[in-house]
Amino acid sequence: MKESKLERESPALIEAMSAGEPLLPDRRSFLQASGHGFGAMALGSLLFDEEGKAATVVPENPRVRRVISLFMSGGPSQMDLLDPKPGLEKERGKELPKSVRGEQRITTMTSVQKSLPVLPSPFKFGQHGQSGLELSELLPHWGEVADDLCVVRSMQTEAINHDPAITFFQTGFQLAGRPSVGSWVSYGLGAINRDLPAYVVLTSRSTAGGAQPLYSRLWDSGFLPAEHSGVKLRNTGDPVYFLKNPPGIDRGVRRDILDDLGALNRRRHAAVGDPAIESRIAQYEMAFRMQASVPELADISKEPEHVMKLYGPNVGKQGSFARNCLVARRLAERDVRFIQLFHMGWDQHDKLKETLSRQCRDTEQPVAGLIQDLKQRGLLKDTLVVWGGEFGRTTYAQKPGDKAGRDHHPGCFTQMLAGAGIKGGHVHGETDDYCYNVTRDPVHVHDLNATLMHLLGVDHEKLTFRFQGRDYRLTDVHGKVVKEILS
Amino acid sequence: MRLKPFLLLLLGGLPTVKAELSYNREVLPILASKCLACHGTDAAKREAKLRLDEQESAYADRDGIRVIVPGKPGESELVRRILSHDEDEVMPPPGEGVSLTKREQEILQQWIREGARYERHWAFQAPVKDEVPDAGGWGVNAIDAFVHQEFSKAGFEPQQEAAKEELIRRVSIDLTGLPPTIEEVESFLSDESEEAYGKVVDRLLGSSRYGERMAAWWLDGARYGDSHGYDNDLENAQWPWRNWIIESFNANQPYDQFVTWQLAGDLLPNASDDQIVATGFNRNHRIQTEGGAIEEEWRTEYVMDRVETMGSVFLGLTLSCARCHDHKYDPVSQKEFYQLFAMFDGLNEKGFINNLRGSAEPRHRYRKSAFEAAVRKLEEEIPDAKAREGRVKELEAAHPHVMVMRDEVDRKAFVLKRGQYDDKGEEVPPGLPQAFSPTPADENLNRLHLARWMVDGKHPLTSRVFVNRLWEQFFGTGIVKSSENLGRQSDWPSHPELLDWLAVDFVESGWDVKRFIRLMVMSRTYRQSAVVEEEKLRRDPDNRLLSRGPRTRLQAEMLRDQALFVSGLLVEGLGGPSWWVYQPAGLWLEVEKRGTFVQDHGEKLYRRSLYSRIRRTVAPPSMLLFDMPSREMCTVKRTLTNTPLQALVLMNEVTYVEAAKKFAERMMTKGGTPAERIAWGFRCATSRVADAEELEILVKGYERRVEHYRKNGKAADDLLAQGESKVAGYLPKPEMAALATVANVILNLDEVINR
Repeated sequence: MKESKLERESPALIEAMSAGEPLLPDRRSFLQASGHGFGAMALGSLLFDEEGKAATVVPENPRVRRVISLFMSGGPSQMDLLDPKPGLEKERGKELPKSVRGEQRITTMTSVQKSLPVLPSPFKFGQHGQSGLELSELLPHWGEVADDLCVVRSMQTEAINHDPAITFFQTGFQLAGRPSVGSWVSYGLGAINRDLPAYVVLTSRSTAGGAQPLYSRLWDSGFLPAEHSGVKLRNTGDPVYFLKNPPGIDRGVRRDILDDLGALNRRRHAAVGDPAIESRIAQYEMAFRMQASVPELADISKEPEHVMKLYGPNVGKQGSFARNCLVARRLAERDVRFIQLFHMGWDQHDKLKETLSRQCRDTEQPVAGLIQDLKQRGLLKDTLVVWGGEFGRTTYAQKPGDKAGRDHHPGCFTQMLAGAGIKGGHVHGETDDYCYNVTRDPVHVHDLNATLMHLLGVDHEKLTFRFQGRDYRLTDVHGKVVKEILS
Repeated sequence: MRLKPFLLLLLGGLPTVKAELSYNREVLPILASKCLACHGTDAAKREAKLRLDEQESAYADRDGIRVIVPGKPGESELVRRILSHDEDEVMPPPGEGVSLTKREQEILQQWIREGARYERHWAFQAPVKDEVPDAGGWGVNAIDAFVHQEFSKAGFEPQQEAAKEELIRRVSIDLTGLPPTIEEVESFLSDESEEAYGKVVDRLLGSSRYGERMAAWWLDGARYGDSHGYDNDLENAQWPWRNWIIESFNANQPYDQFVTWQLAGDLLPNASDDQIVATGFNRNHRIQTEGGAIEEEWRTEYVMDRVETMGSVFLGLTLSCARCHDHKYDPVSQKEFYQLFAMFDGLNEKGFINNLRGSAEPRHRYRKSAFEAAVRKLEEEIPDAKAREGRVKELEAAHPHVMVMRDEVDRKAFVLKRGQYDDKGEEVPPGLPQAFSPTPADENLNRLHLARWMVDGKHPLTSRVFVNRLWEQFFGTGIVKSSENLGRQSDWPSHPELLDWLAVDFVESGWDVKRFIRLMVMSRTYRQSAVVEEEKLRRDPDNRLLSRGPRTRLQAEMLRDQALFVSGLLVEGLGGPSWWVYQPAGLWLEVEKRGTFVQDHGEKLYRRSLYSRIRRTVAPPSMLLFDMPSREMCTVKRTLTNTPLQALVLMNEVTYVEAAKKFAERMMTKGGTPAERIAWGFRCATSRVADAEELEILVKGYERRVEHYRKNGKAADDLLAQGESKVAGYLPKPEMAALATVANVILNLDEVINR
């Protein structure tokens, strides 16, 4: 037989093949050798993180071990909270100049209005911390942690309606079907804690009621394997779907049942030899452990008074944003990789003054409390906290007089970041006098995601997954790390 | 066309490595993933006017520089550039996120040395029916011969035939979605004739449950759901389309018709009710109902969805790539995408309907003539309009309007730049992609031309895609693993000659679906035992060579249906609307504004799972956890995962706890000793007789837990109160509760979760 190039050049390969070995090289050297996207090779099963759970990549110089994403669903108003425009007072009620609006589209809710009158913020701003960070009077407690906060005022996104915009923020694409950011992190880095999922989600409703809906798709794994979907900790019923044994089966009986099940499954494995059976046995044991670990983590009864106080008066209420922030800290302590809180009700189309005040009253203290709590436990040095919504709001009023609110605005909005690897007391980016356009250092949603991945030690261009013949990634074909906000 | 299997490279234990490289197998994957983004099909992104996927361009003389000189790597600019250490010269350029590995560099050089021969992508060439190889006496049909050829190359012997119990369970679940009854197992065991298995297969293929099982599969690709999706996500009325799918599979409608009716039934001469309803396939997409949405943006999105779904389901192509630019890998230009778009853009439809419930126009009354006749009859029987109102409402509910295709608007189509609805480019006429199969010369092409072009027997993809997807249903993995994509980025087929043979044979048979399925399940390949030896597991862990029987986890619907079936809860009956089955409390909490969940009761709770209602933004978690897609978009391939959350569903979800309770009742009323009752239950769920040790484990567990429930009467009461069905009051409660825990063990056995 003619000696082929392959044989001469790849002795190890040939040796492996003729020895009947499967071609599974050492995982780390394989990754280094392969310039290819990791996911394309379906290496998921080859890599394990420190606790032995499947991971796809080995992070390089990670600054962040876990992420807490505080997603403010509906679109918080940037010029009323974090991007002050005192100069707008003199424009009150005047039409938004055509030159400012340019060719940007507006929703059909306000495109039917005869005019687009400028509505200055009804809220006062003040400077806080040594950095002098400017914060709205609606965020009094943020002042106490001002020097930890990095405010990005130059965020931009694409969609103008909630569904596509929030889908875009979560998955990097406006239409449903792609994996959420937490799923990418779970897929890429795996879990740290073997008793809990890598990606956990909590939701809370606005106390004002009525809000844009949230759906499980937002934390879905899309085309990634379903095990990377966010697991929602629920506020009613079981904290995780189907976690609790049914009435009449206590933990002892469950253990007894699982012992029988395990014994029978092991016999079946001995007879059939399929390793999937071993894996199933392990999953049942993990489920049993979760039955204990999840309620334990949701049980806050042993939290001391001074800690509870940090989160404000609502922390006692099951299902409140404050309670979820406290649970988020408990999840962070237990090394859950990606913790995401959704809070509904930031869609201030009308009665801005009243509804935004209420929204902040429910949420601002818990956010500051969470940051303080993480800090005093030493967790903030390897935890990243991100706060913000899917888009911003218009500088012009929707509806007249006291009823006035603001419509959706994708052209500019604000996100807040704090924690590991992030400059504290820092403002990045700038918007124009009308808070309508970004004038300096635009940060696209893809850039934010790239930065988040970078902090976790993952190159966002390299974490890919092949689906329908294409290598997909969180940032599509875009995204650049925002170096200016890194410490 | 001849193809050489790729497995030689993937599997160990082979004595030789193929000397000559194949362009399709080894070279194109490198070019596609590393080079073609800038030197490929997309004219707008092409650098240096160079295409590396076309011989003419790659060989061309460019002022004395030739990118590829066949046989001469040393003279080829490509080799110089990929090996260069100069940052300005090396290819791919640094900073693009891709680079060549050493091995890839070597493959490209070797290919050029061997003559740099280009080949057309295998799946874009017409399949050829090769001669069936000699299988040395093993097997019963062509599938076995081709499969035998490959696994013998690896030195593997086939597994023996599965035990009859294993076999009848596998084939019953595969063909009907339900396990066999003990009576069916016994009848098969006692039939020692040669035809025994064939008789079982024919019985199953003739069962109307077959249509339900196949429909459950088809609904994923067709993105069928019972609501409109997006923000408000209120209910639609598309279930008559699902009825048609079930009936079509049961009637064994030839696949060419099945395709034609769904894509263009409305354009057939004197289209029947069924032909029109079949086109609901194109209307199963989501509809935007969120206030403030921009009409044209969403109407455009629906048309794109139709084109992309058609491409994924029928052609195994990712047409979506061509909505913003020429396809990077496959020969579909952006212009061609919008020519297809033009064919699906003739509807008088709205892009946005605030708070839409029911069907959006255009729509068609389900079984219109029957409906009208029934209304007329009613009018004669009950002259008073007010008095018959209730009966008319019932009729309307049984004959809802179905969203269908109807070309009524002569819209001009344009290339949409970057896929943006409001950024129109060149105007384009309706048309078909040129690179696959001869296209009709007609000027006014419509969806009927499209359908006929797909099923004229010459299209290289239609048949291949379908047989490969069906193969995946029965063997766990497609011959092409990427069953959702047969384009240039697809995986290399494990058995290329077999795939082609099947694709041609399927067309020759008159696109006979049941015949093809029968061929698969009758094969010795399919009938092998799933037992796996260490050697095979090590060298072929995924069983790509098929030297053992397929063993896969039951799909979400099958798991629930099986539990209802063995517990005696299942309420059968073909077709009809969808119902709300058990959902965990609070599931709709975040979408509550749009309606409160109201569960159905009685028989509606125990219908087969394909009739469970799907509200797409809050699809049933117990199904999603077992990998059922939410149906928001076309999904051609389900993943199969194995997670702790699945264990929680089967242990604790009320459906499964109730099933355990009713299963226990069946065991109890069988009579006999506890061991006899449990042995019957075990056999009911696994089809086989438990061995002595297995039975002992179950019986001892039962005895321990009878003791427990004797002491804890309330616990027994609580357990037996799960679910809405009742158990007979005269049965002793501690024993019933303990048997229910045994049933819970049985329903969680890996053997029961798998087939």
